[in-house]
Amino acid sequence: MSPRVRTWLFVGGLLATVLGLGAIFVPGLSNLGLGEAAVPLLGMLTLLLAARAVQQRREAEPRLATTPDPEVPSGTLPPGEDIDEPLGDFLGTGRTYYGRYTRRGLRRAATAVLARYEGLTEAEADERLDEGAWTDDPVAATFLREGTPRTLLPGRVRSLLGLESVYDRSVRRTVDAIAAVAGLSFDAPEPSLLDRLGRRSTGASRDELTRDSLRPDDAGNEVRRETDHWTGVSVVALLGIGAGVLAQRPGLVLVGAVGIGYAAYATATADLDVSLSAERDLSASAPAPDEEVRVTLTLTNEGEHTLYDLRVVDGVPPALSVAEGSPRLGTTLRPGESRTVSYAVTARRGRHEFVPALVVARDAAGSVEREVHLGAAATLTCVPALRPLAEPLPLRAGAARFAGQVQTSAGGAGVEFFATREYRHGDPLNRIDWNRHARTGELATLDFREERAATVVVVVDTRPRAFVAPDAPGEHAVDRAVDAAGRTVATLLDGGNRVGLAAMGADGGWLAPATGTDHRTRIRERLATHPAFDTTPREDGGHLLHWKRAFQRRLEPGTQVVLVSPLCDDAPARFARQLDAAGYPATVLSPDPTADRTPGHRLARVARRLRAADLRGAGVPVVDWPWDRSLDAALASYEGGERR
Amino acid sequence: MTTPVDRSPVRFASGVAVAAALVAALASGLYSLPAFAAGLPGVALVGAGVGVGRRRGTRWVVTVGAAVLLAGVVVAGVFGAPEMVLLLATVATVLAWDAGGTAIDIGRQLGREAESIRVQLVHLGSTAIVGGLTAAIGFGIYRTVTAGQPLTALVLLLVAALLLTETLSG
Repeated sequence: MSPRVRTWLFVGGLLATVLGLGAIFVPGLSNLGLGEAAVPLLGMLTLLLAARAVQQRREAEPRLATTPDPEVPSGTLPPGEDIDEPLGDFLGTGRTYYGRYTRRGLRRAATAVLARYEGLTEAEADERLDEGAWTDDPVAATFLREGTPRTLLPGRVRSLLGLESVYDRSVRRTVDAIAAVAGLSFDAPEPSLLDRLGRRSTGASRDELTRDSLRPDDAGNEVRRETDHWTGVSVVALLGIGAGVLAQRPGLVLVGAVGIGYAAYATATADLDVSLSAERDLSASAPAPDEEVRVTLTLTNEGEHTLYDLRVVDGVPPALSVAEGSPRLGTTLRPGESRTVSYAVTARRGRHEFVPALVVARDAAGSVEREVHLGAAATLTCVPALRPLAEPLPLRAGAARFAGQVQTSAGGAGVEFFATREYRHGDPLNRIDWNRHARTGELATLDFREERAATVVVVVDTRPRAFVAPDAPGEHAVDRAVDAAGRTVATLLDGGNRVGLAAMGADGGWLAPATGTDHRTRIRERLATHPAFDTTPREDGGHLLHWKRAFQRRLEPGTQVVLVSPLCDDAPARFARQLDAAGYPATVLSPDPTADRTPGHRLARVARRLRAADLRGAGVPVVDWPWDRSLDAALASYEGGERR
Repeated sequence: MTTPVDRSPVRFASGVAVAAALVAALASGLYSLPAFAAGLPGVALVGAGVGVGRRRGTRWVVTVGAAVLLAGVVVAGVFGAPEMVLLLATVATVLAWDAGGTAIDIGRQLGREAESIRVQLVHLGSTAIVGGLTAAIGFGIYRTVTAGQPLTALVLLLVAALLLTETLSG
């Protein structure tokens, strides 16, 4: 209300007080100033004020602090959640707008698949598409030949009936037909009416998955606001008095008195002075992966007033999820009193810092609210052990200097039998084929397969596009890739090789090839806690080109590269081919994070399969690691590179 | 474990809201049929507002419900319900409104699963006490003052109190 209105109300209030007191103590006065007509007038006026108060309440939008959901770790979407992504990959344009380039992108996908799996040239594939002879599905054939087919029902009628639009159906059928050419079939049923094309398949949209978490720099920020919780309570007073006066009912006037009591209570806010201290305890600061760690946040009221209404949400680190209990608490605190919030989080690889807790304090009536961020530093560091692989890794044959694991096609000293040859003067005695000498009297020398050490650099794809997973919660492709990289490193180091480490697109991840226990520990810690291998996506995109140049400059000649990547865009595949061509034999280890719920997911799976096939065609071995199997099982079923 | 936080209105305050609404409806409904007719939809609205049978609460539904209950109280007053009953119905109406809003607010900020009973108890307790106290004081003054004093004096004093409260608020 404006200052002028306030002044008038104040003057009116004083006047009414004087008149009221006068009416009580000077009995004659009530008949002087206020005649019989004045009382109903007063009643009407009060009712008008009541109407105004109602209006105020209608305009008031009760405001309150919004709290984040720190319990739930930020989720990850499957590749192709947005069908524009794989379409853009096929078109080589990055992302596209759905609709405009969809048909062109699908045509390109069909051409690529026909070229790879049917051995056609691009022109032949184009011809097939124009004839419509490439698939059994008439809808898909028509769509790529001439566009959306005509149907009996106009589009608007179909959408009114809740039917999939003709266009969406054509896209879906075309994607499935393309997948069929690539040898993929999906047993998932036809998509229900609800999860129409792509957009809303996981039940969670991109916005819902991007968690609104507390940030470290929130500490110390304070917000004070009127909640408007009680706005409109004066209606009770005004309506009671107005109606009571008009109807001549003293009881209703009393109703008004209660209303005044509440209106006064709502405004009688003492200064909300929040002085709290917080302390955070962890049951373990360096837990093993998947171990449950109990977190205890103790809040103490350091002020001299009771805090009647505290709502606390602790700042769980973004990558961790709450396993048990709740990081929230609503409580009151007398001066000097302490209360604790206690819950358990599941440990996960990485270095996780707790963020300041959010405290929303209100006065007893709840009219005023204050937001305070309380810092209590605590860090949870989880460094998984490096476990060697149970199955051999398909490394490339190559020459290197030290005795080690890489099998060569040269005979010499070693373990595995390779060939026999004629004895030459100076051959060691233990390699002479004594059996043969006993049988025939000839001297011959056994040759064993020479095993030599290799220099291997393990590169993990940790670019933002590698953060994909078939299901939103839980592990994502980068988690899997880092795990696989750790096991690869352990295996190679055990085999006596020199091993280095790098994160694709991030300069910070580099560790030059070396051997030894110290180096092993260094790699283990770097994989677990370095920001380049973080469990949440990096903010910056990074300059991949610069990184690639710097990376190649660091490689010694003949170094092998093991690239661990979900292969969900073209960059890692291109990178592997470039390395291979530049004389650094590459091997790709690829966790498969694709899903098959929507056409977008399916197209992304087709694209990934094509990339793997192209790499194998270029001589780069690709170990495909299905999501539901262990890495050892994936390696066991890997046979010489032609696993489909 | 990874399910999103249940942010529906908290149980205790919701229960208090519905119970208080029932008390208000019954108290005013006992003395006039029209008041009872207004009270029942009021209870239903408050219940719907705190999300009985649904997940999410809606504040304005609670407010409309409380307004309907208040209308019932006024109607009962006009039809001559005793002062004590009116006072009880009024306090219950305000409590229902306050409890409903609080249930929704705490639900939004902390969620249903978090421990928050202390905040709810203290907040609703003070609302009830404030209502009880003002009702008692008002009733006392009314009894002493109206012994011979005109209603005008009381009304004037109340209006004065109201205007001054309004002026002194934020």
